[in-house]
Amino acid sequence: MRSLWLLLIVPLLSGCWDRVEMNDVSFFMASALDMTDKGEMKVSIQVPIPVGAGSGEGGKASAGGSLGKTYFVVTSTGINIHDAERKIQNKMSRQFFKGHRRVVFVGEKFARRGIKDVLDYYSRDPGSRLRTYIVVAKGGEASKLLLNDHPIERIPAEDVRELETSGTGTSVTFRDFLMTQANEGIVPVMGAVELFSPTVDSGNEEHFRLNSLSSTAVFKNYRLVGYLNDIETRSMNWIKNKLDQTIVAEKLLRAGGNVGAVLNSTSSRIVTTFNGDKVLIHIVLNGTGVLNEANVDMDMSNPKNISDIERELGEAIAGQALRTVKKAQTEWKADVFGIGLQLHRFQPNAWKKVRGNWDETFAGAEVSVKANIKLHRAGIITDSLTNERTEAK
Amino acid sequence: MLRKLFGKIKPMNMYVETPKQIPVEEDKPTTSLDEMTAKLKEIFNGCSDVVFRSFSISGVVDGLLVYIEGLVDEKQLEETILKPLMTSDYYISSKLIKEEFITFLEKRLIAIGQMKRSSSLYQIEQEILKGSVILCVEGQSESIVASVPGGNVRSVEQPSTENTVRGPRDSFTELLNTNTSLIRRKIRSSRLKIDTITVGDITRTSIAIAYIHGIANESALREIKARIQSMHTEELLESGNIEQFIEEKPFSPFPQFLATERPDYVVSALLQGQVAILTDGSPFVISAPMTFWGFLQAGEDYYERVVYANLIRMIRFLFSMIALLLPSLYVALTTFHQQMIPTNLLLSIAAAREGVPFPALVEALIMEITFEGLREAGVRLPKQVGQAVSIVGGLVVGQAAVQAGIVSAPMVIVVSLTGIASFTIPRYNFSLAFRILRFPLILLAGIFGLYGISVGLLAILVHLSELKSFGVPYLFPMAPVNLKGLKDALFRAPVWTLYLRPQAVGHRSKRNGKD
Repeated sequence: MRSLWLLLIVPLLSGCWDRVEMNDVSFFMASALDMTDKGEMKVSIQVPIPVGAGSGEGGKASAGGSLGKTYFVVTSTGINIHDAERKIQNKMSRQFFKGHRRVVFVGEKFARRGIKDVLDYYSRDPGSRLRTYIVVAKGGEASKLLLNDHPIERIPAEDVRELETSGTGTSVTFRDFLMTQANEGIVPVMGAVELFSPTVDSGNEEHFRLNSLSSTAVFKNYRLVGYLNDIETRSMNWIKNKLDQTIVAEKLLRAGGNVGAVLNSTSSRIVTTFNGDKVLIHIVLNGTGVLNEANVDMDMSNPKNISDIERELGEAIAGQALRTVKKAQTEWKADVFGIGLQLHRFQPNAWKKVRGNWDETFAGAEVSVKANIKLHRAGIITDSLTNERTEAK
Repeated sequence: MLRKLFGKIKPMNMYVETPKQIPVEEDKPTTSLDEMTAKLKEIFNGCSDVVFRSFSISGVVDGLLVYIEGLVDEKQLEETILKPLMTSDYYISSKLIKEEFITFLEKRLIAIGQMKRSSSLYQIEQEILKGSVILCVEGQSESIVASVPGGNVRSVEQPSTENTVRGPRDSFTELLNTNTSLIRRKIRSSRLKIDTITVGDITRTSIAIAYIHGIANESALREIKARIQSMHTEELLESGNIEQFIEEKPFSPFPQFLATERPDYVVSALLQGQVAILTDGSPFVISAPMTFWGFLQAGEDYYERVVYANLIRMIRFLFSMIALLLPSLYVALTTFHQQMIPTNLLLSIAAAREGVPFPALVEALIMEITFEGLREAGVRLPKQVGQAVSIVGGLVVGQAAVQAGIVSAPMVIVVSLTGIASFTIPRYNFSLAFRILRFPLILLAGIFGLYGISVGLLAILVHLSELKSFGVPYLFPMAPVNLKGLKDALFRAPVWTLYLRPQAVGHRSKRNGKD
């Protein structure tokens, strides 16, 4: 009985004193960071508009307030993020809640100036989550992305988060970025988002546009130095062994047509050797999957034809990967693939010799790529429909 | 501090007045029938339901039948006592009358199974009140007490509060004999002992203590008997009264007795070493010592096949937790820990809560109290209006309150789910504990968040671990841990592996084979 009384006193000693009703909270769904012409920081916040019972909606938890929108965006400028957020809080009737922020967009201009201060804030503030995705707004202001209505998602930021989790592009959270930044022998990257028209004809004026997470932004010393396009992004993720599944579609000259395949499992292996001062990097890419489109004049029931396609597809993929590495070597001298990190982990003695000048060493390294592609199945038909023998039968 | 307080309160509940006895000198046997009649008439002065029937045995000796109307089967009385006595062809000599007339009557004339003799006026009074027929004969100091039970009683019906899909369908009634016979029908062993005690200075209620010799927990049995004998009360209307008198922790929210109207549950309890107490006039039989897990088990746990039984038991445990915790978790998560709710769910809840004028804590309390009120009303309502009220209650509390923006829809879901969950607890008296504890937990959640809930749960756990039911730890076999006992606590092992009786309660002996 006495222990019971003691326990009843315990709550008074400590506790979660930060009680706040949900009606008094505004949830940050996404933030956008930009740099104004004056060099001030511009912070934009995307906040959902909850509308529910009492507004004559019949108790349905529907969205769409007096603005007819499901969200709104608040913007303010300041010397740093806190200054801007303080000004935003002054404009808002409700308290901030950052725990559910999905994405932080960084404007291109701001990213090129350096994001070091931002990283400090997001890793220091306990209210922010390190698992928030960080994304560069390619070629424009980040706040524009917040204002883009999405036809499907209630909250536009949700769309970018879904793209990030789908695993097609480069998905990087604050945590990933900081960990990469802290490592030697690898240069951090993050996803880059662009707005595109949903249809191919750009002349056809659409009233909405879609986000596309197709490219990768490369950061050196916290500064944005350049982008990798979608194919280069895939090559990079493949070399980093971060690719789960991918669709490859290539023109094959020897086979006389083009093919498309879904590779369900991919992997990579990097072998670094030294020839005097020269560093030789050999990258092996493996991929197995299913041939799903074969616009070639071949009998797919013949294993030899399949292996021909495998070989030529492998060559094409190896070529893409080699071009990507070359781009990183020549344009930025930036090891986005983590080859140095690999060296550090598996050949620590060799790494000691090159760590002081890895960027230059990487840039001067001789790179070779080989891709082994295995196609287990060729779909549910054997012959190509364009094959004349099929028509003859 | 509380112990002192409780110590003071408890004796005050007891009625301390010795029962009124007839003085010994007046209790002396009398041979004169007129005197006897006068005495009995004096005792039953104003009791119009007591019947005095004078007659003559074979026209030779005067006799008197005394009984209470409605407690006696009058048709049988006529057939087996009145008719043989009045129309007997035996020659009754004066010698016979003087010497062994009562024995003669017993042996030759009265065709009744259960009868005895009594010469104590007090005993005769008690027997009349119990429903026996008293036959007084002129010139005899002893009277015959015959049992001709009858009158209107409820027959054995289906249990109304504890339903099972599979299992026996009989339930106890208000009559003690019927109830003991229902148990005896299931345990045909002379080791099943049934002791009868009378309790209550005015109500003189018969209670029966049933146990299986050699299985029952001896110390618990002694303790229960001793406590019942030390009870002092005027009235005993329901087995719940006994429970309150003899339980160890009267202020604990958790019951320490099983209360059931199903004979198979009582039999199962007896076979596990518990002691059952049957009360005349109540269809609810109580038994002890009980453990926490015993309250969460239903008959189907044993009647159904092991896989299904375990699945159902898991569901029951899960819903017991929901019944205890869901409203407080909802309050804590929505007012303190918004980051723990998935974003999309959070937005839906936020949208639903928009425009609700109350804080979540107040909202939860309003809804829970309303639900408890509806439930209480539902129990008291006459059957004819019950449906109407449940429709109005459901509509008003559910739909209309949400539409009017007074409460949010998620809260209605939470409260109704909690309400349904509390009905999955098989023992009604145990679900009451969860209903009570829900409210302090909601308050703790509203003031301290998840921290408060943890502290509240810890307090409940501390209380449960110090609670004992007649010497058996309430949380046995979890605390103290007993590996063999764990076979039938959270999970139920297949029946053929349960060859040991629960150690905590009764003797640790093999179920199959000789002890």
